[in-house]
Amino acid sequence: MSDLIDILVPIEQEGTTGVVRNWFVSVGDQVAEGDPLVELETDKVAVEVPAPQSGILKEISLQSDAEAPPGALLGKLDTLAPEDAAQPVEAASEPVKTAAPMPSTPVDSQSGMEHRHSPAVRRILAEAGTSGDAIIGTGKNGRITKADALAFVKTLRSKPAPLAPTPAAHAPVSGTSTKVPHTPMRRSIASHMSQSLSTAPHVTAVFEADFSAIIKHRNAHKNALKQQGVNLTFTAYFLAAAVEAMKVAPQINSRWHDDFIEMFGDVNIGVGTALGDDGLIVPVVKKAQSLSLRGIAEQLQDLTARARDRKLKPQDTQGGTFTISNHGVSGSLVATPIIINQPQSAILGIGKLEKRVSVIEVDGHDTIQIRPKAFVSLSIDHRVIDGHQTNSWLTRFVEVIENWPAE
Amino acid sequence: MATAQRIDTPIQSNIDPNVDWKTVVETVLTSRMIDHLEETELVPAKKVLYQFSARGHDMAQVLLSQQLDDPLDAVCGYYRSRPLLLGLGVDLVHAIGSAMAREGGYSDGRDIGVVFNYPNQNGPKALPMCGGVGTQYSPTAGWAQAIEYRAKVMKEESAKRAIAVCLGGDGSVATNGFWAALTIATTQKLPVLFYIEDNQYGISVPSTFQTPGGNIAANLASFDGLKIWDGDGTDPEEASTLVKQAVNFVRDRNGPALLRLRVPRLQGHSFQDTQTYKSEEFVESEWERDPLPKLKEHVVPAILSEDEWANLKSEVENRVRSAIETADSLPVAKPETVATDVFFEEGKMQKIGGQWAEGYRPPASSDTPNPESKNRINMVTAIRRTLEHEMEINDRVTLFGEDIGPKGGVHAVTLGLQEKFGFDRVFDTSLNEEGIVGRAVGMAMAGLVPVPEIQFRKYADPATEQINDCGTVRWRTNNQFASPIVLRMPGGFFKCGDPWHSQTNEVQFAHSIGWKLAFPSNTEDAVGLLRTSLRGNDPVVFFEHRAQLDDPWARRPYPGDDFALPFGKAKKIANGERATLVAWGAMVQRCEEAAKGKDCDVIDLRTLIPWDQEMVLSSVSKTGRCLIVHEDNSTAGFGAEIAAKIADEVFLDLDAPVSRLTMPDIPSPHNAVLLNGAVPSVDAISQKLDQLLEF
Repeated sequence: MSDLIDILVPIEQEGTTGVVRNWFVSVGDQVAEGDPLVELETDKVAVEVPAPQSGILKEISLQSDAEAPPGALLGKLDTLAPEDAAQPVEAASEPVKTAAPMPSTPVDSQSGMEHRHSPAVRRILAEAGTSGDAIIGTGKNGRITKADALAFVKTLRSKPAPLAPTPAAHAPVSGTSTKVPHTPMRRSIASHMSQSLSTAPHVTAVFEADFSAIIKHRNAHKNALKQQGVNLTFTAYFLAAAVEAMKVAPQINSRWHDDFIEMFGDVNIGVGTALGDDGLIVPVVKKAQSLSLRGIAEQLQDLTARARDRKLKPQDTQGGTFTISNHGVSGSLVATPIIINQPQSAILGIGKLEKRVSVIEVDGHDTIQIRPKAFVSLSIDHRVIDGHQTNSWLTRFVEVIENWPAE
Repeated sequence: MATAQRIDTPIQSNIDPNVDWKTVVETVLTSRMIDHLEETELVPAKKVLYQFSARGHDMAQVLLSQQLDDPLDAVCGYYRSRPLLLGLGVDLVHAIGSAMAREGGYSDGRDIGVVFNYPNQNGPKALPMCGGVGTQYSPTAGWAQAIEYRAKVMKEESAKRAIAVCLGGDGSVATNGFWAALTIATTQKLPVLFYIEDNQYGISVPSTFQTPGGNIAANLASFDGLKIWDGDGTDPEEASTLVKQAVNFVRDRNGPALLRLRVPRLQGHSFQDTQTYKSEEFVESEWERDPLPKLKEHVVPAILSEDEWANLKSEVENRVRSAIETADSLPVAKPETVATDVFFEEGKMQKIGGQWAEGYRPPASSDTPNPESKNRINMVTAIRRTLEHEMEINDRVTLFGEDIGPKGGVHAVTLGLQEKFGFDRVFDTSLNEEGIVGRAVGMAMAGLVPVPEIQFRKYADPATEQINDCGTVRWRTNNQFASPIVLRMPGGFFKCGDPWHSQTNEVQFAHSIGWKLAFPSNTEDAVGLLRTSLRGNDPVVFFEHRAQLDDPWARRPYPGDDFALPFGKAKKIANGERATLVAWGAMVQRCEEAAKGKDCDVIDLRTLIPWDQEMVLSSVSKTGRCLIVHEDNSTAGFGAEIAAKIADEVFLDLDAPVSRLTMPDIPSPHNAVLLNGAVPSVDAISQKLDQLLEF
């Protein structure tokens, strides 16, 4: 069903009688309401006549150079019924996609570190074919300055070839000493650890956890998950339990500022991952509080694989609010870890899993049982946290581990 | 037997035999034919976009042109001056080709066609007109003053009878320029003819808006030192008589004159104007005053027969049509040439204007200082000494401004110079900056080296139009004209500040096309840059910082009378690796102090247009950090230009943001405590520098 309406020359106009100068559309063209249809020219100005409604231009009554007195008929417009109306040509309505990723927030709000590289630094690193991950920045907020980059590149060039420990490092202590030059990783660890201890007074509390429940759960589910490509490790349980413990002692998930304590909104848990003699790297599982056990396991799998392949990106190691160190895997029963990534406020160490003889009360009687157990130790920054929150956290952590449901 | 003599022709007793009426007719017909063909053919074909017909004004203008024959005569008109220019001998093809914005002609297509310039080497010239009404007056007064100067100071015989004519409409008598020039011409008794053609309208605004009663001649009747004539510009005999009287009066050195001729405007202001504001009766009455039928009646049959008139008319039509055809075949200038000739380019001399066009070449100079003694002198003394020396060796150099004569300038720069060089070469002016700069423009076009002084930077505001138009003369006349002046401008804070005496705002001139800009921080640089300016071929703003004029830090030994510095070469006053400081004027000394011991490059730009991009960019490349310090307020100050250039050219070398430290966006505050809080101090610069270094 169509409805023809008139397109008229405006009554009010500036200057003398207008003349049709230029039609912008042709008969048969589709127009939206407000689209310019035709240009009229008076002795003063050029005036556009817009489409009074959407539709199709059906007729042009005054051609170019024709006189266009006020109120004269310029043409006719066929306004379409909704069901007939074709979609008008839409201007691009999607938000403009930026070509490059948005610049990150000025300074990493979690760690307070400036991770971005200035143009000079970027250029120097690009020319040397190296990333800046291992450089300690001496600029504001730990920014890598041009001088830092230049110095680093210089060490790369003068670094001796083998990264593997030389035979001399394993030699018994006798005779001449040898010098092992620092790798950038070594420097980085040395600097981080010293700085962490000198900034935060560390205290460690030790609890013991019975792993029976999580062993049982894992045995029941690991094969099914394996078939779906997910490797279910004990570490996943530790992260899940840590998230739960954060709920009773949120101060553990925070950082110290001069004038206040910042309680983080997300629980981003870094997992210390050894790279042999190359050192240690701590990939971060982000927003662990919103992940299921399976989700945590998937993340861990991806991160550890990439860590081992040296394919981690800067954002994989940034933004952590808490760290877990599986030191027991290599044999230690108990350890007092140092908070690796300032400015976090705590770090959890998991000791070696052993079968231990335990005294357990059953129906009022003491019994001796053999249970799978490990020591779990929480090192805290005593500026931020006291013994009370520490033990509350550990209590809950152990509770979750020991009471993991069978399903 | 006596026979009665049959009289076939009426007795013509009042036609002036000394007027070349045939040429007058021919020229008026030519003008009308161009008007007609533009209106009916060229504008509809969109070959001419800005079209101004001159019907009604044509005859009187042509009669005026007949009286101008001295090579040192000059006219400056406005957009309805074509008949006058045709009468002076402007080439028809140029006139039409320029209206069509083609290559060559007045402006190579850079300006509209009715904004004429006529670089006539052997006869009366038309000074480059501007689009802005009222700008024609003070440069014309300047040309007139230059005529007197050349006669008296340079002892040129040929200058004794030349005059300057400014042509304007009734609208223009309200403008600043008109009054500035009137004051100049009458107080100094200059050979200026003010030719006012009164058609009673300025576009649509009646002349009663421009002067009470609409009659400027009547209103100026008691103006001391101004001879006035007022008449009918449509009456051939009256118009030719008045024009001749007025011109000869001025030629005889009786002082300036104003000739007002009433004419009808027989078409709209321009092609676009349909004159709906005029009543039909009024338009009819205007046509009744058309001078062309009156001219015909006047010369036919006294000078020409009917047939001769008709033949002339068709000859003119053929000639104009042929010129149109030729003009229409002219190419358009190549777009890649559009940015040439903003400044003087080596090997391309302008035809008219400046000393270089008349053969001047500067004496040998050196950019190595050669002081005769170790005694350090003040910048004010050094500037005076430089002006003095250049005036001694070059009699084209002339200084003027407010209070610079007997008083020696309110900053004491010109102390003693009027005494030494005389009133003609060193003189006080009326209190009108439009007039000071405007006349300098005319004087420069007449081959002098004018050195006007603006008493304080802020007072250049009224001169802004003349300053802007001076800078673009070379470009818009396609290098046919140039107007090199050395505009001295004291400014900046002194012992206190205030919004009127302490402004710097040098960036305004950096943005004015065609101007070079010098801003020395010390005596030695001031001498070198001033000397180069006085020997140069481009307009220069020479900024004299009031605090530096006698500041101990700025003192240096006088570097010698041959010392001249090129523009665009900065000076590195400290060397280092960690950051670059860029400054000029009074901030240089503060940057030097703040950067002590911090291992930084400190660069004194010395000139802003052009500025030493090479030195700055290579320094920032090396250091990776840059701090720009200027006294001018922050937003869009010249520091922004430098910062943008650095970010553009050496982005990959930057290790810290390019920073500026400036006054905040306020005028200069008066109280010294407030001033010192606003202008970057050594401490503030030092702190900002530290921030950059720690980034």
